[in-house]
Amino acid sequence: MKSSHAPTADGGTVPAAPGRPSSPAPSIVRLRGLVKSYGDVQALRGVDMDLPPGPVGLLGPNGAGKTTLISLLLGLLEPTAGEASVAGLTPTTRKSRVEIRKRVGYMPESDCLLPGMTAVELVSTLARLTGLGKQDAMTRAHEVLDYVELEEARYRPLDGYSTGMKQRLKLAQALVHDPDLLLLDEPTNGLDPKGRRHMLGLVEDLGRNQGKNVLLCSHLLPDVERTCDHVVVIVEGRAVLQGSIAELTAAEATRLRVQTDERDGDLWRALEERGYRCETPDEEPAMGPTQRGFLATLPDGRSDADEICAIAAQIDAPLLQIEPVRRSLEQVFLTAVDGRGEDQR
Amino acid sequence: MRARTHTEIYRPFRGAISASAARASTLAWSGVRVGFKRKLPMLFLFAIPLIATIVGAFQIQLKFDALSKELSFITADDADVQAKMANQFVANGLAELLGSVEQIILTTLGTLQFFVVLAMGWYGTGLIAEDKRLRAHLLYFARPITRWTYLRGKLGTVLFWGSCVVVGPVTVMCGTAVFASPEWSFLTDRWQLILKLEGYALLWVVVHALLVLAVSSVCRLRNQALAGLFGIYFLMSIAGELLAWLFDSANWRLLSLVRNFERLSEALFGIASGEVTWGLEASLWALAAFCGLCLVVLDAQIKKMELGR
Amino acid sequence: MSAIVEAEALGRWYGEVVGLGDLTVSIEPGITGLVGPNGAGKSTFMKLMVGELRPHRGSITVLGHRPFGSRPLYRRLGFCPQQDALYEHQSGRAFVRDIMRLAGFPRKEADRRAVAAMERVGLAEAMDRKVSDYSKGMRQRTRLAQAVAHDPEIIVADEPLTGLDPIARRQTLELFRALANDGKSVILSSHVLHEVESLTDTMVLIHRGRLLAQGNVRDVRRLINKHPSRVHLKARDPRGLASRLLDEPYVNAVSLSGDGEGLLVETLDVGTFHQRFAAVAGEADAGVRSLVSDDASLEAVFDYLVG
Repeated sequence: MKSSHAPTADGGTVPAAPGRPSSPAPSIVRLRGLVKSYGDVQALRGVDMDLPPGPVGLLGPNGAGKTTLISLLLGLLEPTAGEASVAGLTPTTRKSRVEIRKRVGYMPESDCLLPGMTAVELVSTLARLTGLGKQDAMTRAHEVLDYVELEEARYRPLDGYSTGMKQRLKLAQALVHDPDLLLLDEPTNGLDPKGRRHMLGLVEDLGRNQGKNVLLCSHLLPDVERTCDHVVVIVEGRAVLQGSIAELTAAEATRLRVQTDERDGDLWRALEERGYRCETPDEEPAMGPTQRGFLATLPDGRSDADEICAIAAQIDAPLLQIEPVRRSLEQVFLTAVDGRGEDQR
Repeated sequence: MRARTHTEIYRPFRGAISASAARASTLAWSGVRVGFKRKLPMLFLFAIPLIATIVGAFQIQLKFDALSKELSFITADDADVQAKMANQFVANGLAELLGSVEQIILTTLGTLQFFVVLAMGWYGTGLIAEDKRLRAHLLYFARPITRWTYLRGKLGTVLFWGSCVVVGPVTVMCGTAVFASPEWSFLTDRWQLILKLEGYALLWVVVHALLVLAVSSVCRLRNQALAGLFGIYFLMSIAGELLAWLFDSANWRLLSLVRNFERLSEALFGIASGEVTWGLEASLWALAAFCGLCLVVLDAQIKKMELGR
Repeated sequence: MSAIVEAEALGRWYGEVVGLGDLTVSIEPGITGLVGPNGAGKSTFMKLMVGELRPHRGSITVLGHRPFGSRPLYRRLGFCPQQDALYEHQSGRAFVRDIMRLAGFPRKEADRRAVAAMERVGLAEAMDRKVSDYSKGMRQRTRLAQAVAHDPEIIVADEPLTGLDPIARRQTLELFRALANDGKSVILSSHVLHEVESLTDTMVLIHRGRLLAQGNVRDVRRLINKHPSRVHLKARDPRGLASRLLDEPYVNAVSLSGDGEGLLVETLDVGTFHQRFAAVAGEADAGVRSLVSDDASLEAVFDYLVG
């Protein structure tokens, strides 16, 4: 693990990701040693975090403190200790905590939608509650509903909405006051592949093109990998890892995954004869039969797969895949979680 | 004209965000609108109060009609002494009549009592319970509103429905009396009574609205809350009667909301039922304590909801 | 290999709503992924498979039995439903034990199996806690535990990964793999195609209550002629490789990407492409770094077919 940071045993500071210069613009969320406890239970035990602009994935096992963190970022909770700044505001007073919510949009995980209302009604009501004027609220409600492509259905009661429509409506209401920071909690929950693609497309657009600070909580790591530039991993109330996904999952220089059809064995032997070191990818739990194949380490002095191609051609094996070995976000995540777990013991 | 395209799909918002105090009414109105969409229960719940109101208004109208007939009969006889007598008679009759108007209105309110609780319960018990079940409060509390705004919003919705069945009928009947009385005498002579009636009706609605919301806030299902509301409503009365009988002291009836309002109306309108033995202060304290209890429950529950639980 | 599930013109309606229209499919032993958009009929098909519903038309046999009301089949089959219905006041262990008692095991054996199953799904520590205290993922895994506790030959699981965190997802996927290694068959539905794919190559794609595709994902991809297959290449000299590839008759188009090392090949005969690529690249001396089929994944196949 190169770009992650082994957390210190006392749960202290986690340095910011390497290679990211301290940006002049203050980050939208800045946490220093943030602690939140409920009675004796510490939900957050000193979180240090600087949210970079753009889409960021927030990962963590159940019960790691993600929900508490979101509530803090929404100004619903008062931090027990430590420093916090959200959109330039410090959530220590009641007033500033309420103020924060003008700058933050939240899409909850749960269903949330009251039957009987229509989409326009719901979104405009929520816009009014945020403090938009009557005309603004209506205009804005239609604009965001257009953005999430909720067409004529917006005039119908929510009762008949499909999961995909409900999720998009929930995104629309989070956007209605054009917040700087968007907190999206499991936006792809229950969506089928098409609905998921649509939702992820919107999240990606908001984060990459519309300049929103998006914090995406998801259990589906491929979704995070696809839409986010950065990732923060929370384990047992601490941010144990944060950094750029591209760096964390950077490809290795000399190891390649090679796959043919039934002739994997033949190619394996032929490669070993020529000085390649071959191994089965059994350390990757999520890899299944589709990604069969094996891993081949290039001998010294070689940096490309031309020779592998030539050898495959000699034994007449079809080449289905050659790809530099890359850690998946899942592996990065699991390593971070395991590291934390061992620390505790 | 210079060529331009506006193909951006997301438009930033350039308007102002200002926290106005009227935002609670937005929440209240949205609750009312949802209620309006359920048409059939509205028919059932409001048909009977409507009929009762019409009957009450009709009764009042008839009384005044009868009086004006007597009036015309007497004035037709053109004698001085008789006219004086008649005037005296009319004045007496009028005074008696105006007194009986409040009797009619209060009786109508008494018969409506159950429907008021039913109507407010039907529309009100779901307000917080449904939010909790679907976790819709997460959407509201992600907005810059306080718990107080949320509570006022919900209270506003219940008050609206309560007003439809209590304040509405009182207003209609008082209005009928005003228009039917000769030379607006009901308004000119008895305006305090109108104010008292309206105030009484409003207090009725507020106290019951708090009860409805408090019950709603501790339940997760609307039907649970509806059952709980009637449970509490009747249990308080039954417990009051039972304890009064057990300990042979009518003061236990202070536990019952209905009895306390009886005491209040006795003090306001001087119509004694004979079953209340305690002072007005005791009833006022009982009602205040009851409202306080509801508010404590609501505050605790809404606090929990704000924290996202 | 004989089929474990055979459906013939299978249909089921809910009033006028179609659950499953006209499905003919046979599923072989091993792990099979049942995929399709929302409302395609996956859950209905699964309920018909486990005998929770009676077919309105056509027929279905599972291990040679007609599932509806077939007690012998119930012993050989485990079902993990999508609905979150558990007895709240019980512990997870007691819940599974009671199901095992219903399945006909004596008390002691039922408890032993319940404990083993709860351990297997990773709930060893939580199994004595009340179900009402469980998180969504734990409830999901309790449902899975009752499906595998009686050691069935076939496990039918409807969206078994919903609500699980990444760690629990991995554990559950590993459980399915272990079951398959023990010679059991697993039929599971999921919207997360990436995960289905990590378990199995064999899929059944249902759309609008009908069978849209079945079989090995790569094979299915080759049947889709409407969209040429896309292969991403990276090389030191992409232009050289591109011109070399354009000489090959099976290559339809080659385009270079902006980063100066990638190129995208479109071909209608991806089998030949894979067969011949080794020879072409071996001669071209273009410094090939990677070769990835862009659209041979289950997700791509799904998109092409469902649209």
